[in-house]
Amino acid sequence: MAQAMKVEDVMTPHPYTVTPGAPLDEVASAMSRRKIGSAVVVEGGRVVGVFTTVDALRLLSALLAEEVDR
Amino acid sequence: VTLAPRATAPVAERMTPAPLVLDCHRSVAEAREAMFALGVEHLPVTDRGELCGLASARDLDRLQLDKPNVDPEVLEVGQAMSPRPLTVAPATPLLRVVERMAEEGLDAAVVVDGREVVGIFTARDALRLLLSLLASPAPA
Repeated sequence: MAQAMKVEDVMTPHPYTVTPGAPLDEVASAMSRRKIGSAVVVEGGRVVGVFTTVDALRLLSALLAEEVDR
Repeated sequence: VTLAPRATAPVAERMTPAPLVLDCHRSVAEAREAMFALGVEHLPVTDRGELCGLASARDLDRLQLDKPNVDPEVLEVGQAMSPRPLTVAPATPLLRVVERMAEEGLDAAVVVDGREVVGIFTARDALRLLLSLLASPAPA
């Protein structure tokens, strides 16, 4: 049965979308509050990227490393 | 006031302490109920009291997709969990934990003191930490 399934059967409809200019703190806050792992970045009706918790972890890692280097 | 550097702070300061731990033979249905009741997405899993895996809501989804005709009351958490989760000691610096999660693409680390599960640090905890850093960056 799982073999015959289509991605639309299991995808998350109406994903959380943001524009490229959305403030990072707002996006991170919404992802934490809604318990979601990604934000789809759209511009003019076109998908231009995705911001995931792994992207957030990479950024956090870089910011924390900066603290150590000071 | 000098803030302690967050990078070297122990993960214990930012983890979710004392998470619910489920035995690997408990049912997927029970795990879902517990996640819903507690508002969490991850549960450490033990076998005879020893940590043996981590079950995320996504792991439960995947197993139920693979076995759509099996009652979730019958499916066991041990079948759904991801074995060998990332484990860290409570004193591990936050930077080290976050680096490993980013490198390995993981959304949670289980905090263990010896053999005891004492906490869990998830991507959600990391997002909260990121928010606190964005709100109050370290002084130049």
